[in-house]
Amino acid sequence: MGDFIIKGLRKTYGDFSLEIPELVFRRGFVTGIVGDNGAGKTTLMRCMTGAIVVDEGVIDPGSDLPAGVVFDECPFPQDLKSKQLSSIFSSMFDGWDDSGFQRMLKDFGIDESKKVKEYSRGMRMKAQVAVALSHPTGILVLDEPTAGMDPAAREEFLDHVRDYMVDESHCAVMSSHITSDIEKIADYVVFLKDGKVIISGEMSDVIGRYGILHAEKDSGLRGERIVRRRLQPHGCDYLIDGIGEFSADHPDMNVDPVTLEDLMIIISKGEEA
Amino acid sequence: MDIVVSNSDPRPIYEQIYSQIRSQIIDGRLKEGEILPSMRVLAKDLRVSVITTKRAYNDLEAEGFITTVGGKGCYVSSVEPSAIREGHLVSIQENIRKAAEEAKQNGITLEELHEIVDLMYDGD
Repeated sequence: MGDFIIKGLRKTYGDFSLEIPELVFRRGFVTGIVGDNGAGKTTLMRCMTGAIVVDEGVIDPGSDLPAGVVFDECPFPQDLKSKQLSSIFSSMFDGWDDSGFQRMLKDFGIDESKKVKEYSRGMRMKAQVAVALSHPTGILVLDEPTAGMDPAAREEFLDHVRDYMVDESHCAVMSSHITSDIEKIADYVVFLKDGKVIISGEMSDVIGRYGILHAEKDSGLRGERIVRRRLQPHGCDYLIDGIGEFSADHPDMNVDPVTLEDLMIIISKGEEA
Repeated sequence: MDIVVSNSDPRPIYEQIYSQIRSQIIDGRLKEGEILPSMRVLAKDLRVSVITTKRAYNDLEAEGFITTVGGKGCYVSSVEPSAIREGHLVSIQENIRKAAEEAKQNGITLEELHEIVDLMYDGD
């Protein structure tokens, strides 16, 4: 079993093109994917699960086992109830653990009498997690799984992902706008913008390396460490790459550490400096 | 094993985990041969990323405090008495360094500092 490797990927829809020369999702770890709507997150995840066919590129999942998926469009037959889902999946997946599945559905409070199409969004996400945790999988692919959930529900959901990751042969890739969730759970993070990977690395490295300089105006500050600039009503923010080195060179300037959200916003709203 | 991690602590989380486990091994709360949760189970329990616990465990293992077996389980290594003592000396030195710095910055003399040390050692 190896890492999930993407090489030379291209998928084009009209004006939009997802182009990724190389991307590796390390087995045994969680990779978070962040980016604006339209950045290509869902397209990437669909390419990964084989739901869509790429125009170019090679995807090596590093495992023969199927993928577990948690997508907004829950791929289960909509008219079925949970007992029927059980019989379908037990014949579809090798090593299906039905008692485990039933127990999880109960713990998640999923109503046996409801059809999939009657599930709330939260229930649909939980049902997909329950399925993914009930048979051997090589990777868990989650596209905005906690959107719309309240904080307690989100935490509970993340706990299930953490459970999944106790097995070191598992790999998880999760996209989310809720950057605090990504910060909590991801070991690695990938930023997508306009179909391209613009930042990729270990979470603590990425967070640790960037800083934001809040300046009173756009003083024309330039330099190789100043990678982005965002004009504000009362000043100008600069994204600094290499907070330690920059602060050493400019001890008079106050550079703040970033959160994932800060990074997201300045990448999305700012411009190249 | 009791570990508390805090976001308001300026130190990175892996460092907080590392130093708490190290202290507990040095002062004997974690005993030689005691089995520790795997880095993955610990990550799950503390609700932190696996890479965070991995780093803490790697550091602990590099310093000989824990031993991993087959990359999965790990246990507290036998820590020599001299190593334990050394651990205490290092930690005491650090505490005194902080006290000395605070004293210097605030016009408190070395003599006054000595008095305080005497009081703290003998007092109660």
